[in-house]
Amino acid sequence: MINVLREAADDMQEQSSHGAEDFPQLTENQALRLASMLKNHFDSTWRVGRRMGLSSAEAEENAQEAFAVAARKLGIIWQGREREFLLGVAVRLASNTRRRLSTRMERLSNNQNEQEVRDNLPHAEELVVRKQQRDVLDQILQSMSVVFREVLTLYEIEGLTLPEIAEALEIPEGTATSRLRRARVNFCEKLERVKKHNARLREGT
Amino acid sequence: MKQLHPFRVARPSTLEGQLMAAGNEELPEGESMNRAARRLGISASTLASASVVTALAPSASAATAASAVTVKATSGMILLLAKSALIGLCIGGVVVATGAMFVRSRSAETPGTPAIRQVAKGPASPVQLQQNAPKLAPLTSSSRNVEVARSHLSRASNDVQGPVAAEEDARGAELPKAPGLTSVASFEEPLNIPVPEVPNVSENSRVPGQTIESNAHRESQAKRNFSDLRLAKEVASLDRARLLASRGKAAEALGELDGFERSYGYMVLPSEATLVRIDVLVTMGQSSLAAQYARKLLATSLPASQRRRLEELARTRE
Repeated sequence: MINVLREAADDMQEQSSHGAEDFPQLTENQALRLASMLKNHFDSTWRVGRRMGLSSAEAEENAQEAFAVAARKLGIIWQGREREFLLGVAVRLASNTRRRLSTRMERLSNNQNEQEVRDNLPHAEELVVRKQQRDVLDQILQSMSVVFREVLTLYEIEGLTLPEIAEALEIPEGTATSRLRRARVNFCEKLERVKKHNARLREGT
Repeated sequence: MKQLHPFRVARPSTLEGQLMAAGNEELPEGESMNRAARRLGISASTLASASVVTALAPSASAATAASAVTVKATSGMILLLAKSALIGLCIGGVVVATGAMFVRSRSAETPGTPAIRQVAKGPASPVQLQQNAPKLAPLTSSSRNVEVARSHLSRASNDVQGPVAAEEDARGAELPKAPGLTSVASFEEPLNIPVPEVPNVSENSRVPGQTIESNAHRESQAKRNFSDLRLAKEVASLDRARLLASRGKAAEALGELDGFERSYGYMVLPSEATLVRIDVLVTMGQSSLAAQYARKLLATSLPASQRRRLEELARTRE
């Protein structure tokens, strides 16, 4: 499956770069299945892109590409395993995208976040707090390695189990477990650093 | 291995848990999905009907889960029933085996029960014996004591080898020739029971003390060597003696007791035999000898009712 995902992601990016999209003709049942996948898993797919460091628009583009891959590979996706397939493709696509556009992504991300913070100002204070928390989360995740970010996002945020993560990332379950443990330790260490930094800032002010 | 739980589940109040929850709560714009659908070529009607599919999916999975639970519960029930049946069979087998042993032991005792009960009533007067004669006849002839005794004796004649069996067969062959017993067979249904030859023993030649002592010795020996055959033979002998006594043939009854005592000995029912003997002696008017037997019998363990009657008899004859 890893080869399928990589080939699909490469094909999609190649087709996107050429500006040509060739979707197969879907039957009614396939269209219904794809629509069902869209309704059920679009949010998760979009969120994975966000947590992998993409902006909101990039995450939407990333999710669309993941669903385009799913539309081409609909015949090989097992019933009931659509979520693992979509999130696995989304993680791969986001990693590739972020690697390719890292410098531009950071710049856009900062501008986008500032814009979104400004957009959210009229909302309740709780939403602002949540937004600030998401900013801190994204900041910590972006400072982590990709392999840690993948398992942490899929496990902690999207709620996949370790066997599902292992299947989505095409890695052994033991590897997924060890990666997750190290990712959690790494995340907590970075979070402590953020806490100390914020405390120093408050003391300074 | 320690089980891992997501931060937002295990530690929701901590900062890491709140951060993860905040990351999970973020949603795309409302039009994002519609834009993706348009890009994938999915019409709005198909996307709308997908909600029905989505709504059906949980119910389908719920139905699948319900069927799985049903299958699991059914298999569990079948397994439980099988276990219960196995345990029930084991318990039933133990109960049946115990019941069979109990019934067998009871059946071994049963042949003697009417006679013992009859004997245990104590010495009866001649008038009572005459009155009870019609009751005693069916009791002894139609009861299954006779059948059991017959079966045991026929089995013994077939199976038992040795001088005892040969002696029994010889005595059985001599039975029709005994003139005193011809009358017994006339009012009792024909039995194939080998009846010992009734000797003509005078009262003076008998030594009651020696008989009772040998009875005590044989009683203890009989407890060790209890057998159905022995019990059946003794019961049959006692029944014959009581029947003869009830018919007014006390001398023949005493002869039956003496003959059996001399030939086989009352090993299982010595006390009952002594009681019957006391009854017969009282019927014959030999009260002093009856009292002597009663005193000897009182030395052994007896039921309270029997003991009281025997004590009265022993006192009156002293």
